[in-house]
This record gives sequence, structure tokens and C-alpha cells, in this order.
Amino acid sequence: MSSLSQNPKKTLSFSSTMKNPNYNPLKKRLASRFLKAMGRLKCKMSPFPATIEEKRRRHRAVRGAAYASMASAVGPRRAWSRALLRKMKGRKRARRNPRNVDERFGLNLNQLCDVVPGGEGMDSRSLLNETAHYIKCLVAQVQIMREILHSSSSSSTTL
Amino acid sequence: MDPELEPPQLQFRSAQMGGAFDDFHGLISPPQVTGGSSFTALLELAPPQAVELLVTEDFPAKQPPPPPIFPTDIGLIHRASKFSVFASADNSLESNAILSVSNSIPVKQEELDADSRRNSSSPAGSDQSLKSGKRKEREKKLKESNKKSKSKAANDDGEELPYVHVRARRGQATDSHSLAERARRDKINARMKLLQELVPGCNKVSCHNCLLSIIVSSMGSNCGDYLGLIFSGHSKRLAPLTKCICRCVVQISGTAMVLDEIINHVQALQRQVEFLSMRLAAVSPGIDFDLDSLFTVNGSSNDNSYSGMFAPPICTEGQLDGARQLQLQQLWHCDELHQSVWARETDTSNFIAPANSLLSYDSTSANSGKPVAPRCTTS
Repeated sequence: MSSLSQNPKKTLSFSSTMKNPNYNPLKKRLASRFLKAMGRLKCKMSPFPATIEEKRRRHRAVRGAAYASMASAVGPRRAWSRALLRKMKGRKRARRNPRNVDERFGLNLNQLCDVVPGGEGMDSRSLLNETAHYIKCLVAQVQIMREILHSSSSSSTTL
Repeated sequence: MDPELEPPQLQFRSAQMGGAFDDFHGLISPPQVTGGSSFTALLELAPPQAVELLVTEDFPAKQPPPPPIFPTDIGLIHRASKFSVFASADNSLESNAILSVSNSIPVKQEELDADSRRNSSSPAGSDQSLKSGKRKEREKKLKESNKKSKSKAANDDGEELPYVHVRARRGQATDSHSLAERARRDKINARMKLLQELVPGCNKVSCHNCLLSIIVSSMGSNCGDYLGLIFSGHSKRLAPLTKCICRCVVQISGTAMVLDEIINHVQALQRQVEFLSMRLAAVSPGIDFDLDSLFTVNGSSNDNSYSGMFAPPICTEGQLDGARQLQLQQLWHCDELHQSVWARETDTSNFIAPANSLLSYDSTSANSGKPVAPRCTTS
């Protein structure tokens, strides 16, 4: 396909719309990865956290698992997932271009860079694309987590 | 797009995206100084009544049968004349004719910033952040229809001059098509008139901008919901309409606000992840995760991912209908939640179906139970 050779941005969007490497929809992939991660976490965790510090550690671990599973489910196709994976692995090779991406809209893209992972080195158009996909994945992830919670709370008699 | 939606309404609603927001934007930009969600403040009393207006299908029946006898309002008569003059055109051209009408309204250009000027006046639809292919088509259609409608207007000018008597059916009574078309037009015009009376400050602009802005504002008090909607709806069916809406939102409330809403949306989602992970961490030793995987795979994930993704931002806003039962069978169906969201916003259950049709949600199953959390977390 000629479009693939032309423009990397188009490649990203094209493949994401076609869902080329992923036959499963996004949600299923996210869910399976997250559940696997939680299963792995569960083995490590003590059944009853005594101290607050342990609770906090667990909380952070779960959150990290959530983000990591999200990023890995998406794969390296997206800039934000690459940035997240980089952060998870610890390689702080963050190319911090202090580039005010103020070209087009002017105002708040800096804040957006801070919020969306990997937002530093991108121009406004790709930043917005990444934001869109990031929002989509975040929403799916939130829904998955919520449903896990509810299924667990409904299956167990006490909350 | 959506068969449920009445075609002419969809037509003109989609056609008007093409150009004529500048006047509305020019109108809006002064009140924007007041801050906040400006266009919702502008239309604050509009949503409930307008919603009823949009919803009640028997609206023309409620009105006295000869609706468009415009009494004294000269501006109204002027607008009606424009409608009647141009509306003598074809059925399919009516939407574009109305668009040409709105284009002919003198545009307040002084206060447009570079963005909207670029957006509004670029004929080829320059490559903005949204794809503008659809806009190009609309622009072309507009130009064609301008020629056609002008020629027809010249023909029919003689009989349309006494435009106060809109219902004087001279020369058109025999044609059943034009009769039906005229009836429909009258219905639309009557509704427009009422909308204009309801919406403060909308009198100077085209009716269809008002209509659209009402829809936009009544759909959600928050732009962010819309943006979540827009960004989540990657499906092709929704793309044109969501792009229209997005463009409209950007035009109406300015790009800065849209960006703010995007940022708020992302931050809200991240906060949700945080809280949910905290809860999960608290509960998690008791969870059997393999069993969950069974459930989630079995739960038929017809991707109502679209409506599903729309749900969580609304969840955080607060009070959901706590009476929903958790149903594990249909984990991914969010239509129930969806409807409850709209019900929360507008308190009319009637609104749900037209809302769905208006935005052409692909809600395949209208009444499946979604496990809605009685989200009683107080963080």
C-alpha cells in the first residue's frame, strides 16, 4: 500500500483503524493483559496488608500494572504507549524538547504535553491524535477496572 | 447516516457546518468574556424547553394549524421571506439553500481570531486538525445550490413577494410534492421560530446554528463529554458527524476551551484510574482473576465500545441511577447507562431515543442492562 510508505502518521492511524495486528478489539486485549498482570501481582501480595505503607505500595503496584498493561496492549504503535513503556522500564531517555507546541492553537498544548505521556517531542497534530487514542484507551481501562471491581464485589457477599 | 433521523433535519444540520458559523461565533465571542462554559451559559434556559421542543414529535400538532403567520416582528418576516424564497427550490437543495441564506447574513467579522477565520473562509478546507474532506463536498454542494437557488428565486420572486401570506399556495397547490414539502418546511420554520424565541441572543443568527448549539449544549453540560465522545468514536459511521460536532464545538466555544476540556477529560480519566486501582488494591486478595477472565470473554462484547467509552466520564460527575442491577452477562453493553446519563441530564425519558438518533449512536441493543456501579466512592 502506497500510503504506508508515505507518511508515518498515516501509517499509525491506518493500522489502528484497520486494527491490523490485533484481531481482538481493544477492550479484550486490555482486559486480558490487565487480568494477567493482576494475577501476577496477587501472588506477591500478602493477603492482609498491615501497614499503610504496604497499602500504598500495593496501590502503586496496581496502578503501575494498569498503565503497563494498557501500554503493552496497545503496543509500540503509539507514541504515548512507547513513552509509557519507556517509563516503566526505567529508561528515562525522555527527549525533553522544550518545544512550545504552540504552532496551531497556541494555548494549552503545553498542559496537554504534561498530561499525556510522551507529549514532549510532538507537534500539535500528532499530539492531538495521540491524545485521542490515549483517551480511548484510558476509558476502556477504566471500564475494565470498574467491571472487575463489580464482578468481584457481587460475587463475594461482603464488600 | 442514521435512518431513524428525519432526513431533512439531518441534511440541513450537516449542511450548515459548511460555512456559516462566523456570524454565530462573532456573536458568541463577546459573551465568552463572562467565562466558563460560555455557550451553555448563553443558552442556559434553552435546554429543557428546547429539548422538549425537539423531542415532541407532535409539536406541529400542538401549535395552531397556521403557524407561520408572522405577526409583527420584522426580522422574523425577513427571515421567513428568505426561507420562503429559497425554499421554493428543490427538496434536496433546501438545506443548501438555507445555508446560502445563512451565508448571506452579514457576518460580524471583526472579532474572529485567526483560527475561525481560517476555518470559515478557507474554501478548500485547509488541512486543519480534523479531516476536511467532508467539508469540501459541502462547499461544492453549496456553490451549486447557490446558483440553482438563485435562479429559482428569480423565477418565483413574483409570487413570493407578498411573503407575509406564506400559506398562499399560488401556483404550487397542484403539486403534491410541493405540498408535502411546504408542510414540512412550515413545521421546521415554526420550530425554528420558537427556538429563536427561547434562545436569548440567537435572533440575529441563522436558526440552524441555534438548533445545533442547542443540541450540543443539551447533550451535555460539559464539552468534555462530547470530546470524549468524539475522540472515542473512531468508527467510520460516527466519524463525519462527530467531526461536524467537533468543528461546531470548536467554533462555538473557541479552541482554548476545547483544549481545556480535553485536558480536564484526560486528567479526570487518570484520576479515575487512580481511584479504581486503589479500590482494587484494597479488594484484590479476594479476587480470583482467572474467573474474571472467563466472564469478560464470555460477556458478549459487541463493540458498543463507543457508547461504553462514553460512560465513564459521566460516572465521575456523580449521581447515577443506583437502581441498576449488576448483570454479569452483559458486561460491555452500556446502553442502559447511556440512557441513564441522558435521563440525568434532562429528566425526560423521551429525550433518550431522539438523542440516540440525533447523534446516530450505534446502540444495537437498546435495553440491555449494563452493570452500572452505584458509584458510592467518596474519595
